[in-house]
Order: sequence, then C-alpha cells, then structure tokens
Amino acid sequence: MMTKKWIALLAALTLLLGLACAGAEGSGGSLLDFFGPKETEAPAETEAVEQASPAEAESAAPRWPEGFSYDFSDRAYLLPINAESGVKASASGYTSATHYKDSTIEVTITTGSKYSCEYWVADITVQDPSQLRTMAAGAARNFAYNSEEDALSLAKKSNGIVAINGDFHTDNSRGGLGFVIRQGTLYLNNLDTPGRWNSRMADVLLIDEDGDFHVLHQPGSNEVPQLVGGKRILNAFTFGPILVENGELVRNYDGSESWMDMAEGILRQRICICQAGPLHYKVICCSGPSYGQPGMTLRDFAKVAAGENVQIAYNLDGGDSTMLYFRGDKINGNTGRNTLRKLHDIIYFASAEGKK
Amino acid sequence: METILSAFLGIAGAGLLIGTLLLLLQTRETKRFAFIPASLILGLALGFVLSKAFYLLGTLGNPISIYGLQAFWRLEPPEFSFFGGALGYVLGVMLSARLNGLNVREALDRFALPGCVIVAFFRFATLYLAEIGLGEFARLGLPEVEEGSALAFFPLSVEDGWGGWWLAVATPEALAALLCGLYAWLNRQRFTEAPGQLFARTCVLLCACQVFLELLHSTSIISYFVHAEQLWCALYILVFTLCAARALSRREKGFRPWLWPIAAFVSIALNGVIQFLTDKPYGLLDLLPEGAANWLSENLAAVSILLILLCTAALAIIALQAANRAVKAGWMRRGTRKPN
Repeated sequence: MMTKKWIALLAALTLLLGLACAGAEGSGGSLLDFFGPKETEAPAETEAVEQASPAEAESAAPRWPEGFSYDFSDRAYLLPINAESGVKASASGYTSATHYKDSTIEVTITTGSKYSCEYWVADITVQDPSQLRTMAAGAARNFAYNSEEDALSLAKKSNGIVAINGDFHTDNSRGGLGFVIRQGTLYLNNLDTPGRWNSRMADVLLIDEDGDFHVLHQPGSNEVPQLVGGKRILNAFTFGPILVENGELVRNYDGSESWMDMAEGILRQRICICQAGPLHYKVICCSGPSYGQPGMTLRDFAKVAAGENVQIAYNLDGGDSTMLYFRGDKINGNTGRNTLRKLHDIIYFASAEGKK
Repeated sequence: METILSAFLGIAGAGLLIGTLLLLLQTRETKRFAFIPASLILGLALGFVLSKAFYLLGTLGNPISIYGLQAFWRLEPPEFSFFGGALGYVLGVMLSARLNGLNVREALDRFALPGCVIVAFFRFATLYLAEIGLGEFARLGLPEVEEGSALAFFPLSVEDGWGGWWLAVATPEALAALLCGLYAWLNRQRFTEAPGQLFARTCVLLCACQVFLELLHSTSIISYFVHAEQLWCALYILVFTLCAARALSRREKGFRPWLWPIAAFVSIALNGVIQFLTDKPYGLLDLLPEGAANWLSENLAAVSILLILLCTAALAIIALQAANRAVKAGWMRRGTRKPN
C-alpha cells in the first residue's frame, strides 16, 4: 500500500527527472533535444569565431565559450588543422637509423650521456607550423574523452616521423584542472585560482599559429589570452614546469609540486619539448630505472635541456609514459622488450610531402 | 566515431520493451500489473541518477570542478557509469515491488532474466555512442585489423572514420549478458526456497564477465590506473561472498567459512597485480631467464589477458560455491528471514 513517504519519494524523483529535462544546457544538450541526431565531434575547423582586434583580445579578460575553435581558413597550411594524420614517411627519406629527410621535414636523432644516464635528442625542422600536431587516443580522436590506446599503435596511426607522449590531461589525479587546446579547438579551460593554500598551479605551454612557443608561469583561471603575441593558438598544454625560457635555465619550480608530483628530486625518466628557433624544435628525453638506467632529477634534466641551445624547454609527462617514437618504434630505453603502456594523447611531427 | 542517437535509443528501447514484456510474463500470476510500469519508470529515473552519481564518484568529482552543477545532467556518452545505471534500475524494481506489495526478493528473482536482456541490449547499443563500446585488438594480443582481414566485420569490429578497425567490446558484453540470462532461465526453479538467490547469483555472473571485459575498453572511468567499473563489479562479488560466509559461519564454527571471501579477495588482488605487471613488466622480466623473458615480452598481452580471465573465472566459481554451501546452511531460505 502506498504510504505518504513513498509518494513523496516518487514525487522527488519525478522532480529530479524534470529538472534534468529542463535544465541541461551547453554541449551536454537537453533531454528535450535527446530525440534527434547529436554530433559529438569537435566543432568544424571553419566555424567562425567572433574575435576582437589583437590588442583588445590580448588585454581584455578572455572569453572562452565552451567548444571554442579558432578559424584558420585564412592560413594556407600544408596540413589541415584537424584530427587527420600526417603524410606517411617516404621510405627513401630514412638515410640512416637516426636520420630522416624529405622536402618538408628533417629529423636527426642523437644520443648522449650525462649524470650516468643515457638521453636522446630529436632535432626536428619543419617547413610549416601545421606539421607540429596532436592526436587523441580512441576511435573518435576526441581530446575530451578519457580514452587510452597502445602508445606505439597511436604513434603509427599518426604517421608521425617523430611522436612523443602528450600531457595526459584526462588523468583524474589532476582534479579536472588544466588548459587544453588541440588542433585549434578548446577542450578544457579550468585553471585553478591562485592564492589559496591548496591552489594547484601549473605552467602552460602555448604553440601559436606560426609554430612559436609561448610559456605562461602558473596562470590562474581566465588568465590565458585568446591571442598570444597577437597570434591564435594551435595547441596548448598543461604539465610543465618550464625548464628553459629565453635560452636561460629556469631554477625556480616553486608551486609545481602542488600541481603534480613531479618527483623533482627523484631519478626518473623524463621528456621535454623544446623550440630552438622558427619551425626548429627539439625533443629531449632521458632513460630511467625501468630500463636499467638511473634516470635524472628534474633539475639535472633541465640542465641537459639548457645545454642543447634551445629557447624554450617545457617538461611533459615522464615516467613509464615517456615515449620517443621514430622509424616505427619507441627508441628511448628500448631494450628489445615489449611495452603495453597506453597513452591518452601524443604530440607528433608529420611530413607534408606532396601537400605543397 | 559519431553518436547515432536514434540507433542507440532504438536498440536500448527494444531491450527495455522485451525486458518489460518478459517481466510481465514472469509476474502475471501475481496480478500486480502496476508493478511493471512502475519498475520501468522508477528504474529509468534511478538508473539515470545513479549512473551519473557513480560516474562522478569514479572520476573523483572532477567534472564538477569543470562544469559545476551541469556535471549532473550533461549527456556526453562517456559521462555515465553502466554499473551505476544498472544498480539504479535494480533499485527501481525493488522500490516498485515494495510499492505494489510484492515480496522484493521474489520480484528480483523474476527480474533476473529480463534484467539480463535489458543489459544485453543496452550494452550492444553503446556501439552507437561514439567510441564507448570499442577497444583494441592489441589488448587481446591480436595483430592490428585492417580492411579485408578476417576479423574486420560488424558486429565483431567497427571501422572508424580514419580507416582503423576497433574491437567491438560491446558485442561480447551483450552476448555474456544473454548467457547470464540463460543461466537465470535454466535455474528459475532451483532457488524457490531461497528467494533472491537467483538474482544475486546472476549478478555475480554479470559482474564477473564485466571484471574481465571492462579491461578491453579504450574509454572507461579510470582514476590512478584503477578501472572503476571493474572495481565495483569485483566489490559486489566480494560482498556477496562475505554475506555467504557470514551465513555459513552460523552453521560452521571456526575460520573455515571465511576462507571463501579470503579466496575471493586473493583472486581480485591477483587480478590487480597482473594488470600492474602488464603495465610495468620490467622488474618481472629481469627475474626470468633471457629466453623466457623475451618470449613473455613478445606475448605479454595474450598472457596477461589469459591470466586475468582465469582469475576472474576463479572469482566467480569461489563466489557461487560459497553461496551453494551457505544456502544449504539456510542462507536466505524462507522462514530464516524477517517477514515483510
């Protein structure tokens, strides 16, 4: 027999359902919109975005609507700014086990040893900013999804000449925090508010439409501008810290430990992405305990990066996620042993041969 | 991969319809026909609420940090928990039974088969929700599937928009749910003296299947490398085994009844260790002779998935064996529980 309390419970449930029908907005859509096709892909790259003038956009409080996407249709990039892979490497481009060159990209891999630990440097020069690309794991290649995929499989799909792990921005240990733009589309705009005792602040790397790096030291909520140096942003990463800036070694990592456990003083595998000049990049990674090598502390690794004549070096997710992919295989710490580590996203340098 | 909402709703709706009809057939002799629509409405409402709640729990509340209160009603396909949704639906059925004066445990037993059918259809329908129901063939130790390959066909695999082929994990999940439904159907008369047993055991089998199959998903709720849906399913089985042991301990003195949940816990822990070693195999490989290490490295995926499958099967067997003994000792038997 229905008692009053059960009726009240039913009424509450009905109200909850009604709120869900009426209240949902934004990219989640409403239940009233449920009975129809729904696109979950990222907005088309040609979707126009109302933008202020460069000076205005850079100085005003940035407006970042959900699903914000830049319009790069005015740029004649060699490769489209979307989730497509790059052009496959030409077999003849591999002149040796450590060198690739075609008309649009050149890669040279060198190795070194410092602090009793082996490290690799990939020196990359491209012809066009669109050749520095990012790709998400999963069938949808959607950076908003918490998908993971075998690292080598993901790298092979990208057709990247060089591929490295990304910033693992979907990891739940980050507390949902981060600023993420991939291939010109905003996927996450949730930086913490500075000043609190438990604020989690991270250094942010911005790559602009000309392929130039810009770094922000622990920006707070709504402090990332829509234009940086008057230019739109192709990709933005949240990990860090910044290791080298303006060619100088950065020594102060204060606050980075509250963002994430960088294992700063502990010997680990590490990787960073660097810019040495216009369309000239380097990726540096060191070996680590998993491969029988000691690894490096963050400071020692930063010194290695500073010694490579780079303008900016930005630390990325290290440890066992560290991957430097070249010539169809992971070359860092490869002892002939298989690895099944999965990644959520990669950064890769692609060829644009034949796209001129 | 795009979401084809009409396909998802059509398949899920068909599952709800068939499941509801089966439930009607199972309960028609009680003549409490209001139980059926109430189960459907309450089940869907509570299913939605708990699906969201468990998703937010599994992601440590991070979506609330990003979206605020909107996190509770966003309709992005990855932002739901299947375990939570199923639990919510079951609570809806229980509530409906209570409201309609039915014995809750008997109602759940009647719901065992229809529930499995609903789960099967919903699972299969997830193939039309972006990449929710997909996984990698590499996780099974199989090579990449390409166009023209023997495995490149629907519903075993799905092609993405870039020419890549993915394992349709939702298909074996749906088949597993149907097999669990078959178990419920074949055993429908076996536990009439212990109402609730059939449903609870069917859930053990469903959860055991998911402990294994969840690992094949490319997209899932993961925090600190823990697959939340897998953990909740394993916890259900553990709690079930603990309850059986508790009932058994009333008849058998000493420590012996508690060996069952300990064995279940060991099985779960072993499952976790295998997953950890699959992710970080280097220490283990260094301990083996070189030939063995090289072989294991080359076949790591296949070996790990086989071991996890064995551990999961052991977990299910332990739980059901414990339940068998506990039922003989009077667990959930009529006359041994409080009256409604």
